[in-house]
Amino acid sequence: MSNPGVITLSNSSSKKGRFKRFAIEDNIGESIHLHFDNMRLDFTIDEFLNFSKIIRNSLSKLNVINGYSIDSFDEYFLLGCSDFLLKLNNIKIEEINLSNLNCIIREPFWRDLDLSKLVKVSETPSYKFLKGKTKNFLTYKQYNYFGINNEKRLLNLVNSINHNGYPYLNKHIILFNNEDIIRDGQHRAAILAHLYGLDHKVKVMRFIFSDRDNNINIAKNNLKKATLWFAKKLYRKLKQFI
Amino acid sequence: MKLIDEYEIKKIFNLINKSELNYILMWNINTELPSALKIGKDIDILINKHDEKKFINFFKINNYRQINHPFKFDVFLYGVDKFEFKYNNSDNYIDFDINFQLLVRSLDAGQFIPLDQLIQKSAWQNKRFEKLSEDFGYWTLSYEDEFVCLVARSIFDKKEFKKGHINRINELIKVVDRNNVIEKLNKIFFQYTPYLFKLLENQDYEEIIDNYLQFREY
Repeated sequence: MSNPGVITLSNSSSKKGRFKRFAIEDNIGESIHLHFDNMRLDFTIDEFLNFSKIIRNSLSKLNVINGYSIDSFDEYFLLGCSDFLLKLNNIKIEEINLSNLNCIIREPFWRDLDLSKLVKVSETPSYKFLKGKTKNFLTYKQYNYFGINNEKRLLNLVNSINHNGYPYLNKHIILFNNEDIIRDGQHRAAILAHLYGLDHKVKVMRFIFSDRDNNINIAKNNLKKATLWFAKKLYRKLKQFI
Repeated sequence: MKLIDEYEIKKIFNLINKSELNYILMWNINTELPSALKIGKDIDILINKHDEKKFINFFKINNYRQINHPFKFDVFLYGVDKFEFKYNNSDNYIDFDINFQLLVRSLDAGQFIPLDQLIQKSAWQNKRFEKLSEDFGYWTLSYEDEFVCLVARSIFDKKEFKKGHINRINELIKVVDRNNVIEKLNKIFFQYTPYLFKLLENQDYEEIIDNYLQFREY
């Protein structure tokens, strides 16, 4: 029996990872599934929330983020950088001018191929949208939680910063190593620049790792992405003749 | 918007019916067939996978060409027989979309997922012949299966209840066997089913999708 009302809450499956499949799915009306390779654990919503609380407490006790509570970070960001956390040496809080920050954005390159680009905060789709310059942000591809669109997400954050200030709940804009590239908090940076100007100084959190493996190399990443994109297209074409 | 020639639609359906090919027209919303189908809109029919070759021959004999299905590279889960082709006649603009199972798109990544086996079997066991006029009729789903499919399609594929679908659901809810429909909806909506059915009975169509997504009594 298949449930089409399934929402993937999180997925960190990886062919190269320790677990080939590790995903949490909400099967509406049925149960929450935690897929763990060939195993599946079923939870009611209450059971899952309780389980999640236990995991949060355990992670806090394990001190995986240099003494910081995991509540200070966006869960999706933590998931993205979880592979690097073992190499995290230190976290520094520092002040930086918004105009000195760089952001990673994606732009259409050819057909359905998007490539990454480094731009200043003033060039991000969210900042331009807030300034009423363009509506491109409405269709900009980015990860959103289920049922939230780009506009709603950004405007909710504007309200939060207006009411609660920044950094709310100790959630900072995050940079890695010696790079001034935003790894988490691009929307917050755009909103702060919109509200207080591009020369405004903000507190950021800088993760210092023991190596530079996670430093950004835009050209290399784009080459890898374009090669994969081309290989997939070629495979599909060839498949038609087989 | 131009319409497809009514005569051509009647002609092809009479030919399929005479050929005794086993098919089910999945829906005829707003009674578009035979006289109000716009050019560019396809006709969705359900066939058995093992009859595919017979249909390919039938369409070939009747000057329909095989064209790539726009969704052929989408993800098909749980052993769904993926559809790769559509059948189009460039002379009369009729476009047949062939499905091998009753499917909907999943909520998150939009993969094609089959409705439960109970509904698949019922589609074939309980199909009925709808005779709209002396010279036009077609095999279609039972009222109960049509009702279930229209509700599922509105929620998962369209993500809204369109006016035509609402009108048809309102017609069907008066004639369907309530227990039969609830049993089938249970296979799709699980513990949300009683809430869904109540909203359908009350015609609260605007409430349904948000209410479903926010449901948490399980």
